[in-house]
Amino acid sequence: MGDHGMRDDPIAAALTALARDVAFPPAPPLAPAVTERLLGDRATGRRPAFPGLALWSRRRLLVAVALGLLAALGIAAAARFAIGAFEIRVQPGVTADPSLSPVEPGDLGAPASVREAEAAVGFDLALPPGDPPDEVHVVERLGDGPGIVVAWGPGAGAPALDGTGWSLLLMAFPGEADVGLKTVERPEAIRETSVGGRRAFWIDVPHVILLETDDGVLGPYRVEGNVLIWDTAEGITYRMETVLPRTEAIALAESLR
Amino acid sequence: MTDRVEGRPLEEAELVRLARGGDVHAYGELVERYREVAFRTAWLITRSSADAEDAAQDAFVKAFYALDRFRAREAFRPWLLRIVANEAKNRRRSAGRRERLALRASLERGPGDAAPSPEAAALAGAERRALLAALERLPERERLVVTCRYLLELSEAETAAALGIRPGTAKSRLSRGLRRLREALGDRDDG
Repeated sequence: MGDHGMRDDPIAAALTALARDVAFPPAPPLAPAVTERLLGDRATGRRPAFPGLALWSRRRLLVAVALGLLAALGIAAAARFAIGAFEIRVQPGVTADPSLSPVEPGDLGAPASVREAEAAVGFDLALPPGDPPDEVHVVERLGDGPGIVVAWGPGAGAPALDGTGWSLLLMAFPGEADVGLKTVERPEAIRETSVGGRRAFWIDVPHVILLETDDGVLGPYRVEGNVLIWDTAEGITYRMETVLPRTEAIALAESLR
Repeated sequence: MTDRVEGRPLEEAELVRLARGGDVHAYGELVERYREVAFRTAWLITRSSADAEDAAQDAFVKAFYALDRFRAREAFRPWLLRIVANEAKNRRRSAGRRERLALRASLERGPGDAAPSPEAAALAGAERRALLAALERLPERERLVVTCRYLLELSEAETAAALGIRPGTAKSRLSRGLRRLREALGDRDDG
């Protein structure tokens, strides 16, 4: 049903009538505050004078500089930290600000059962043995199709990740269209490893993640837990966030069925 | 300093071009043009005037620094509203379970407020309250599409762009939302 097709719908007509009468709070005069902030940024040099050299371009520039630096240091093999649907970038100066919120699974998509989620995404979700997840959400996204995020609450021997109500988060996304962009400050924060003989990355320092879903770019979020990212022969990328150290996290990842 | 012809408002594309070149005052004119719809979009998501103001202000600042990502052939308003909506969602997430204002509260009139429009007057008070209550009970994804489409009077395409979803997704959520409203009000009539 298109824009015009709603005209004969009495509910649409009632909503249209209602729109004329909704008393929104008055919009504040934003322009003076915004221009003052922009001029203040310029005066203090916090931001470039020209948006043409703004966030996105500066990020690209920083990535280019980082890659060049890594190449000069002879570690070019680790320069591109891309695996399946996730990419990890080194951005000197980008710190995991403590004021950022952690990823909240419920904000990423609609709740579902594991079976419902698998039906929605079209692939089987590999889960660790033991208790089923406490929460399951289907994450709609453009690109290579929806994914799943599952979470387990804290339990015996499994404390909560700092700032969250979860002890373990597992994300699974098909394909290679980016859904997650992780940013770490230093290249040595990223360690290449393997899960079941396949390439994987391990990050055990606080960092930042942006997630692109059907609802737009979400974040940045602060990641406090240890993170393992790997992909499978079936083209599914998994991201595990846990309090476990590296060897135990890899063992847990390899136990997924 | 903005270069403009005396007395003639600049076209949006020209303001964007000037802002990309670093003209903060040209950008201020864009902010003024879109502040109301930006604030309302943020308010529909946060349901807090203070959070909506902060979200809209932060979104305008972010949008200025992201102007190099804006493609000149696109419409500016939905591109801006997408940034506003994301900012508002982040604010709401940070706010947690803090109490949020309901839509019906915004309809309560003080003695000095303007009279309702003829269209609204035609919608009886009880029906209006029932419609708003049903709207509030919609799943959030559908409620946002319905409120952007009807209460902000965005087109379907603008609604999809502002919420960062595909046009087909916006269409299906709108259709589902209207169907739920129809069923809710039908149940009420039947009861």
